[in-house]
Amino acid sequence: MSTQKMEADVIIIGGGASGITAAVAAAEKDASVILLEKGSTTGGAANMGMGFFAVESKYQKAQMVDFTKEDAFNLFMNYTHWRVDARLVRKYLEQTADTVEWAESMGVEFLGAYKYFEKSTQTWHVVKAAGSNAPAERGASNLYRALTERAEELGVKICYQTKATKILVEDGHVTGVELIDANGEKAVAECNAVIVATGGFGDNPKMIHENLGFEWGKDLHSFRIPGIEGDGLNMLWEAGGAKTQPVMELTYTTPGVTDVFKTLSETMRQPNLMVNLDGLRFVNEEIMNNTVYTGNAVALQRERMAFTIIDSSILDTYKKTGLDYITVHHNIKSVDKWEKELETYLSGGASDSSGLSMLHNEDQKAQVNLFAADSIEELAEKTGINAENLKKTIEEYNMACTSEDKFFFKKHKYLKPIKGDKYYAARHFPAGYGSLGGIKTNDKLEVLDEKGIKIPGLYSCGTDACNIFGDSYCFLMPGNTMGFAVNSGRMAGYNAVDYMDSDEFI
Amino acid sequence: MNKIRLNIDGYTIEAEEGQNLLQAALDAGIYIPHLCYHPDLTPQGGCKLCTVEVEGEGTVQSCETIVTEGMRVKTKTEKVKHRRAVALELMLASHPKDCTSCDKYLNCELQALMQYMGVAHSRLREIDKENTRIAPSDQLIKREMYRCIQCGRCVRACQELRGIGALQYNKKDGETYIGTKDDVPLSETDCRFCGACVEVCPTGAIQDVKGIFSKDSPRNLALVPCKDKCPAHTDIPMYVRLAQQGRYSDAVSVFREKLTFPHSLGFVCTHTCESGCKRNHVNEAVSIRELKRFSVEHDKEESWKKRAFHNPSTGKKAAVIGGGAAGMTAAYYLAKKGHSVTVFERQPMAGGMLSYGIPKYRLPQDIVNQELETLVAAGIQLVPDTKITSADEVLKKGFDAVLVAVGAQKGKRPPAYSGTWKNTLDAVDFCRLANEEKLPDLGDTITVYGGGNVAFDCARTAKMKGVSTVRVVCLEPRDKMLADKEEVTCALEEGIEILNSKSMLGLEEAVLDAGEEKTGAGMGAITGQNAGAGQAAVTGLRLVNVLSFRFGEKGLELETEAGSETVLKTDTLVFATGQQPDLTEDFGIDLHRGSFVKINDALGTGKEGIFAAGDAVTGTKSVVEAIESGRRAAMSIDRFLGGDGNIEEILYDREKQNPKIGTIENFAGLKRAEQLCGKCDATGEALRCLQCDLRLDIQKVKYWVDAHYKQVKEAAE
Repeated sequence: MSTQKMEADVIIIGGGASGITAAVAAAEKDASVILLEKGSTTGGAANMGMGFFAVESKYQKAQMVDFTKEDAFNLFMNYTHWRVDARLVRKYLEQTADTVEWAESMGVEFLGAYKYFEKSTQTWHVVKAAGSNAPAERGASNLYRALTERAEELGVKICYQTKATKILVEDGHVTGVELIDANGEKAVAECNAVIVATGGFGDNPKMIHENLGFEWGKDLHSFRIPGIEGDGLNMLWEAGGAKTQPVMELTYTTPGVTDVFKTLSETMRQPNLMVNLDGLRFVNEEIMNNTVYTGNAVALQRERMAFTIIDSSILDTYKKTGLDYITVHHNIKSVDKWEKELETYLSGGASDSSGLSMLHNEDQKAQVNLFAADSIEELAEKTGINAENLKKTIEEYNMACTSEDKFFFKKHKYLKPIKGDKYYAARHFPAGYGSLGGIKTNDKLEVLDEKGIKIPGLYSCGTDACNIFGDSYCFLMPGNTMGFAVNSGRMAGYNAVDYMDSDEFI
Repeated sequence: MNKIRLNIDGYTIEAEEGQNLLQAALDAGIYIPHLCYHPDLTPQGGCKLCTVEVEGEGTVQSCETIVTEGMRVKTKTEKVKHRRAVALELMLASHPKDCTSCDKYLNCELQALMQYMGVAHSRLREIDKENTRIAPSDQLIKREMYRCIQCGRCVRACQELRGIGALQYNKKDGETYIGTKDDVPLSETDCRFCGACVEVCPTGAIQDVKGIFSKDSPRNLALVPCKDKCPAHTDIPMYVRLAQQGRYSDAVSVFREKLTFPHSLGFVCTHTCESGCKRNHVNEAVSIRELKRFSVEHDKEESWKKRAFHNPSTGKKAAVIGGGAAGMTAAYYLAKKGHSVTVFERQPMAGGMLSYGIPKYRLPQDIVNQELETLVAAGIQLVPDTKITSADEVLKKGFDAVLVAVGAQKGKRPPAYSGTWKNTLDAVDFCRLANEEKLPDLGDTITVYGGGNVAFDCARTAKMKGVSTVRVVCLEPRDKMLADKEEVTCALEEGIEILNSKSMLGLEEAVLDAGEEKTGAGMGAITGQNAGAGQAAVTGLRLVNVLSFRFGEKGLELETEAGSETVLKTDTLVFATGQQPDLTEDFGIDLHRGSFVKINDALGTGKEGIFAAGDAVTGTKSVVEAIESGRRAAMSIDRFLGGDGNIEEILYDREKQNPKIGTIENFAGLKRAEQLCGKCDATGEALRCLQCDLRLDIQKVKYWVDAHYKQVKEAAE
């Protein structure tokens, strides 16, 4: 055991979006802060992000965005059927606009407020990357650099490659954290308050299976951001914190195709015919740009898989007019690279191009998820879709294309018949960004025990404590995961210091 | 070395003459971004990230610029920032965006640089590289070359640092990429799997295959898995290296730093080091145990003896109960620490299981005796033939501290078989009787119940004694047996039958008249059981096939195959189902789980001055674990007696290792030698070592967030 003595007013576990924000917030209020980070740098999963949610910001005002705090609150509560903590939602929404300016005071620049897809609200405040005036993947890392530098200025001690292993509670009060330092030595750090912000358990297949029922690599192909292994939740539960039902921040994906063969992927994510293994439609494909809704619908199907089907005539249309849906982060507008990517994929170039993570097993890596065929029968055989039903569904769908979609009411402009002579199908599975929620807190981000009584000095924020979306991530208001992470971190940091200044602190 | 003064961003700093500007700045706590530069490698100025402005010279690569007196440098001008940003964007143009699937996430220098420079993506068109995918991963080194940014650190590490050159720049279809000659797997190159390329790679392009290193150990141990896996953390790569150089005495000194009984260990060590050996993933582990034995047997100088410490007398007295590996080890170090030590041994000879458990065909007694003499010579008073029945009693005799290291000397059977039969024996007694040459007549058929190493000791001893049918019966299937593979193989070669996945339902027994008795003559007297004529004898075992089993809360939980019952006739039955200490509450210390000694972290028993170590605490473990336990006991007791508890000693002075290991023909193909018949064999075997420890000598690159860069170290006026 290391003899080096570590102590601070507040110890923060995890230096991602929420943890580093909490560190700055607590230090702003003159608390001494130690931040324990497993990796070699801060920002965690949020380094991959582009921006965060805010409402009634100066950008939105300047851009004449007609969406108020009240609108956001009502949308939130109706979306979740009031099954989430309304006080926490309200406090969160109240702070977001100020957080934009707070970040700017540290030198962060924003490009403005953006939508994520056509039907979404314009709430996504995208961080400007150096030398660029367009939204850029990973742009938010600028925000985390600024927060890290501010934390350092304020005297926060950031311990890298340091893993917290246990929250110490004595007589019902938090007293410290057990940890393993960068040299692998065990140590204890003493403190008055602990803020846990470790980002859920997206990289822990066992916890995913136990808590969410998915078998990662088989019927779930979510991001496995290294290190997000549920450390915080396990420590919080062990320390007596009450468990809430976590959810997966669901999307959908074509394993081995999405993120590698972007033209193939984006083309197969257009609002064309989608069927399940039984050859039946189950969704108004128009909603496919809401990846959460689509992920939910796919997850309901047999073997949790679904197929989009197009033909050469649809490809010809896209060649002429471009794609129906364009996503901000992939930004694929044309199908120019279709032939080249298709050839590479089907010739087996897929297997060694690592579209699939090293974490998939050999069988999963060998799985083909994009198919080309000369007939519907051949396509059915290759994909395993019920041939008879598929033929019938395509006939009906083609009929609908000439009149209207009486079954799911899809808009006519998205109804493109499937006639041949080449047929293509992509197999989709549920995917996701990671878990959401798992620890019960109150609106001050204080961790509650099974009886709903707070554990003095124990806080959780960010994704570990993100229970405000109900059963599904609220994709309608983009930027919310990072928005909650940053804002709840800020609140937890302030609240932890308030607690130490209050009478209840002994 | 002359000092030079220069000014960077307004700070006056001191640098060494001849030093490059980048390193000088970094040393002074001024961060300049850099990627292709590594402090252990020749700068090549390729990445352009370390661009700075030098007054009078314009923009330069700081890694390629040598410091001069009075130099004035600016590291953060707009021009510099622009150049760096463009350089980074060029790298990012071909680098995959899906960092989330990369194992280096948050431990990636490129990612940290993006964060530092605020450059999140490339404005340039995305570049698809075709050839970066030509990189088969090996079992030790995972290559995801599409993450490569061609900084060339790996190439330099392999060529200049190691003198190998397995990695190089290749060209194909107008693209440059890093790979092996002709794109063959590393195992077909001169690669020595030292891991230097992994260590210096700033991105996720070259990584260790997951699962090779322990995640729980400190880095300096984890990266050297043999040392990590050895209970005593012996400096294995060092002594293998010395053995390779024929410096056997120095090799012995190295393991003498951590081990007593090295010669015996050379015969019987369970060598968990070899299971950790990284070379397992190339072909087979290095024969570490054999090298140890060879070194001891060829150590003419015994140079360690001259360096071993021996403190003056402290006037304190310590008693050790039990002269086995744990007890003797503790006694040895306590004596060296200046305490007066007495070892009470109930048998005529010390050595514990080394003398009375391990069969002589595996470990000759004279070797044990020799090693015991060496230890006793450190000043231990050994009192044999003395059984201690109470720890308190010893304390009362005027000892200041007592160590209970009585071992696990009593057989432990499944609960249903605790009765006495005239022809049953516990393995621990069987082994002792065999070593004392007092085994009774075993009959024509002997059955050993249990599948660990001790079971095989009994079976193989019986076979050597001439018993015609010897069987080992155990719960585990063949591939999950607890015994070493080597033991199982030898047993099968010797004609011993192994019945796997069997459980005993019960015994068949009969009361035989004295005249009918085939076996067991005198057995009772020897084992201390009352087994006179007319007492029941086992005639057979009722067995059933086991489908699966586990040890749950209620003990053994079995799933058996219905209708698979058989009866196995036998003349003698040996229970090799575990051992426990021969202790009762009367001994005066807290026991748990039957008769095991309960201890705290400091090996204390809860009673002032009484400590415990070895098998008496843990149950049957290996010799090396007993030694390690004995060492920890010595530290604890020394502290209790007022010492500093430090028993570490440097018996061999480490020189700085030459990182240049060069090439060896067909290195990956070199086969393991199971036996070392001569110096040539030993040198060849030691040469197979991957020298994992050399990786620790490579400096770690500090990220921009490192505390080192938070304060500039200015030169004194």
